[in-house]
Amino acid sequence: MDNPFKKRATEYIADPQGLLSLLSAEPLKLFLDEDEQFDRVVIVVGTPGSGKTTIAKLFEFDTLVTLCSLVGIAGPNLRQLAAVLHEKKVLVDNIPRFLAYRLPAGSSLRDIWELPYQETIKHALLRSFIQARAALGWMRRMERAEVRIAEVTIVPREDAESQAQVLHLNDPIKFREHARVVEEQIFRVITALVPPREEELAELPVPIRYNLFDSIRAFRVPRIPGVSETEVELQPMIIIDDAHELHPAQFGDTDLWLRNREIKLARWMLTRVDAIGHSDFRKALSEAEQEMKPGTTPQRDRVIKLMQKDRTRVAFRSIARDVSRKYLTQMPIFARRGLDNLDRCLREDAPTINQTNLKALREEVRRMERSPKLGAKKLQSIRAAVPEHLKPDVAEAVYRILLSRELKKTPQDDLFGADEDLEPEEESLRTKPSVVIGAEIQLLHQFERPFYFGFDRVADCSTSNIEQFIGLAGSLVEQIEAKIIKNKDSSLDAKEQHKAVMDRALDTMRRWDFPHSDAARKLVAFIGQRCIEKSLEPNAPLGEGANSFGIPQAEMERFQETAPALAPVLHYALAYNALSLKENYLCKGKVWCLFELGGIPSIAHRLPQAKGNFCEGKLADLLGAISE
Amino acid sequence: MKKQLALHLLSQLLEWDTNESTAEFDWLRMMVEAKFDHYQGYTPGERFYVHFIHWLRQFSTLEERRVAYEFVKSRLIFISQREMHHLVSLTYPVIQRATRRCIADELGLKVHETWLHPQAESQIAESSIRTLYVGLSDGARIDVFRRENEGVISNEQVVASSEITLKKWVDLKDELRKLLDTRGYASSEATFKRICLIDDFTASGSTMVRYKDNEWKGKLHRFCNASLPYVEEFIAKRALIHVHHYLGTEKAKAKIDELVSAYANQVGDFQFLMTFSHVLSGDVVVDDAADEKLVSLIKKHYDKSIENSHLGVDVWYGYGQCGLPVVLDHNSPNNSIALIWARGEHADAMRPLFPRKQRHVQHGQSV
Repeated sequence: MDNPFKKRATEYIADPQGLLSLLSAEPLKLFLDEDEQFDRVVIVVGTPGSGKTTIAKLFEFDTLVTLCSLVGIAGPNLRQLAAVLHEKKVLVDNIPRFLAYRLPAGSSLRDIWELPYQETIKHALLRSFIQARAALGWMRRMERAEVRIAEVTIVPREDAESQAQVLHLNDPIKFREHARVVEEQIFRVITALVPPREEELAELPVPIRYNLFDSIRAFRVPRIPGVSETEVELQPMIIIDDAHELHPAQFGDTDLWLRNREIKLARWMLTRVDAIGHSDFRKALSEAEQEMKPGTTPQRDRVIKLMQKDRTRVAFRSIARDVSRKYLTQMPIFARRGLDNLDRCLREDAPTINQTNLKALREEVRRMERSPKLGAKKLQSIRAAVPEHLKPDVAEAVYRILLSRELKKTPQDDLFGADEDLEPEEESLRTKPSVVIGAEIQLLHQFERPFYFGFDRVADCSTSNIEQFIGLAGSLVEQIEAKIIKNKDSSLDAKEQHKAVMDRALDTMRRWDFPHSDAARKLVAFIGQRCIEKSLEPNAPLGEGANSFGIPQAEMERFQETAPALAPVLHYALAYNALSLKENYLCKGKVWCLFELGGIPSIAHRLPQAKGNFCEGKLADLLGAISE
Repeated sequence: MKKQLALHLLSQLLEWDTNESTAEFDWLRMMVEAKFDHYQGYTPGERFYVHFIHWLRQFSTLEERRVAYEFVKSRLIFISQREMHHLVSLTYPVIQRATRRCIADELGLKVHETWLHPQAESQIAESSIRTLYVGLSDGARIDVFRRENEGVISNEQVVASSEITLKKWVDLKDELRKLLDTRGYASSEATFKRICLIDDFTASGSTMVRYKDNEWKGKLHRFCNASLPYVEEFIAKRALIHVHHYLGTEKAKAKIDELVSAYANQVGDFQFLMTFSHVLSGDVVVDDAADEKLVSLIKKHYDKSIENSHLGVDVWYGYGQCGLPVVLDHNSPNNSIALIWARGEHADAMRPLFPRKQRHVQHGQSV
C-alpha cells in the first residue's frame, strides 16, 4: 500500500486481513457502550468519515472469523481489538456471536421507489429484496469463512413453523436457492425497461413476497474452521449501510418495519445525518449529552447512536494516535526508519515572531503601559501574572491582553453587574491557559505566527472525525515523506505543519459539493468572521477566542417556522462537518443554542478549537448571511 | 532505479523545496505508474525515471530543466494501452453509425427513423455482414478490435493485413456466402459493399494518401490499386472504402479529406469515407507561436544528426513539422517534437525521453 492516508478509509480494502491491520480498537470502546444495540433497531448516524462503514465491515462474519483465527499469533494490535470485542460481547470465548452481513443500500434499492406502483407495493418489494439479499449475504459470509453450508442448521422462531416450510429453513441449500430466485425475480422487475403492471406482479413465476426476518432466530454452524470445532449458534445481523441513499419514505418504512419486536435479528441502519429528520437528530444530540443510566430510560424500540459524540479531546487523541500508528507501519519508507509514531515527526517548538514584529508588539505594549490608569505596582503585578515559561512573543501578547483587561476595568460598579470574564483582582495572579492560546491566536492573525502544529492540535482540529484526522495527518505525512526522500530530517517544524494543515483545510472547503454547500460556505464565512472579530478583541474576553455563534435557545425551538430557508442548509452543514450544534447551553444565566464551526472551517478561519466560546447573535443574522 | 532515489535526484535537478516536492512526487508517482513506465520502448531497469533524469540533465540551466518538466507535465499527451484500447472500442459504433446514415440517405429517412423502419434495419444488418475490416498496420490492433466485437462481427470479416491474396479473397467470399445464407440474405450478392481500412494514428495524413512526383501514393492508394481486379467478383461495384483511424489530428483530418476528395475524383471505382475515434485539437500543437521558452528549448537542443531523407531537415518539431506532443504506448510517432523521441549521434547530443523505434529502413540502416 503506497499511502494509506490517501485512501478513503477502508472502503477500498476488501480483504479482512488488510482491513484488520488498519483498524483501531479505540473508537470501538467509545462506540459500543450500550447493551441495547443487538436486540432492537439501531440507527447509526455519522458524518462522512466518522467510521460507520469501517465498523460495519469489522462486524461482518468473515472479518470476525479472521480476527479470531489470527488472534493467537497476531501482534498486540489485533489482540487489543479482540479484547475490546470480547468486552463488548461481540466475541464470546474467541467465537463470533453474530452472523453479520453488510448490505449497501445502493442504486437497486433506491430504484424500487421509482417503480410505477402504489407505495405499499413498493415498500413490500423493498422489504422482500432486503431480506433476500440478507439471506444470500449470510450464506456468502459463511462460505468465505469456510463453513460448509450443507451442514448449517437454520433455527426458526418458535411459532414460525409454516413460514419455515415456505422458506425452506430445514434445508440450507434450498433456502439459498429460494432466496436467489426471489432476489432475481425482484431484480428483473426493478431493472426492466418496462416494469410489469401492478396486477401482473401476483402472476410472476416466483412470488416476490419474502418474509424472512420474523421467521428465523439463529444459524447453527457445526464448526468454524480455525476458530471452533464445536457447534456454534450465531445470531443473524443485518447492517444496512448508506441508508441515506434510500428515498425518505423508504427509509421511514424500513425503520418502522425493523422496529418490529418479533424480529430477533440484530439490525442496524447506518446513515448520514441528512437522512434522519432534523428533529430526530437534534433529539439524539441532546440525549447523547445526558448521562444514560441503565434502567432509567423508557422501553425504546429504536436507538439512535451517534458516531461522533461529544468525546473528550483526550479520548479522540488516543484514537488518532492509534490510527496514525497503524497507518504509518503500512508505509515502508517510515517503517524502515522505525517511525511508527507521528508525534515524533511533528516538532512542537514554535518559532518566535521576527525581531521587527516583536519590536512592534513591544512598542504597542509600551504605549498601553503609559496609560494613567496603570501605576507601577499594578504593572508589576500584571507582568508577574504572565507565565514564565512562555516564549517572548507569546509572553508579550499575553501581557497585552492582561493590560487591556485591566484598562477595561472601571473602578465603580458596572450598572449591569460585574464583568464575569474577569476574576476579582486579588485572585488574578495566575493566567489561565486559555488566555495563552488566545494570545497565540492573536499573534497568528497579526504576525502569521504558526498555530496549527503538534499532534494534539491536529487531532483536536478533526472534530472527532477519523477521516478528517486522516486527511489532515495525510497532508503532514506527505510532506514528511518528501523530506525523507530528499534526505532531509524526518520531521516538520511548526511553520511547515501549520502551512500544510491550513492548505489542506482551505482545499477541503473549496471542494465542498454537498447539497446547499454554497449557502453553507456563506454561513460558515459569516460565523467565522464574527468569531475572528471577537477573538481579536484586545482583552480576549473569551480567553482562547470564539469558534461558535450563539443564538437564544428559544429562537432555535421555532426555527423551522421562522427560518425555513436555513433548515436544509443547517441540515447538510451538520451532516458534512461544516458545523456542529450544541443546544441548551447555559451561559451567563441564559440558555443558548451554539453553532460551532467544524474543525476544517475553524482552521480555515484561523480560530481555536475551543468548546463553548461563542459570539452572541440572533437567528436573523444567520438567515441574513445565507440570503446575501 | 529505486523510485525513492529517482525522486530524490529529480528534486535535486529541479531544486524543488519541500512543498513543491510533495506536490510533484504525488503527480509523478501517479503518472509513472499509470502510464509512463508502460512505454514499450523501455527495457527493464531503464524505465521512465532513468530516461527522465538523463533527459533533464541535457539541459544545462535550472530554468531550462523546469521548462522541460513543465512541458512533460502540462503538454505531453501519452496515450496508454488502455486508452488506445478504448479508442479501438469506439470504432465499431462509429462505423455502424456511418452505415445507418448511408442507409437513411438511400431510403430518404432521417437517421433516427431507421430504428423503427423494417427495411432500413434489414439493409443495415445486411450491410454489416457485407463489411470487411482490414488492419493497415500492427498499430491497428486488429486483434483487439476483433475481440471487442466478438459476437457482433464474424472472424471471417476481419483481415490483419491489407495485402490480400486471391486465395484469401476466395475464402472470404465463401465465408460471406455462408453468413448471408444463414442470416436470411440468400438472395444478396456475396460481395463486400464496405471495406473498413483501420489504422491507429495519423498526424499529417500523408501516410494514408499523398500526391507526389505526379502519382498517387500511400496506403489507401496501394489498397485500392491492388483491389481493382477484384471488383465485381469479391468487392461490390462502387463499394465504400471507409478509412478509420483511432486517433488523428485536425491537420491530418483536413488533409485527408482534401486529398481523398481529389483521389475519389480520379478513381471512380470506389466511394470513400473518413472517420476517427478521436481527433486531437489543434491547440495541442507546439509551433513557433507557442511559449517562447519552450520553443527556444526545442530549437536549442536539436541535433542535425537525426536528419535523413525520410525525415527531412530542421525537424525540431518532428516530421512534417507537425509539432505534436504525443507519445503512443508502443512507440513515439516521428511527427512528435524531436526532443521527445530522437537520439543524436554524439555523446552530448540530444537524448530521448521516449526513444523511438525506427521503422523506416534505408539501405539496410534504420532511419
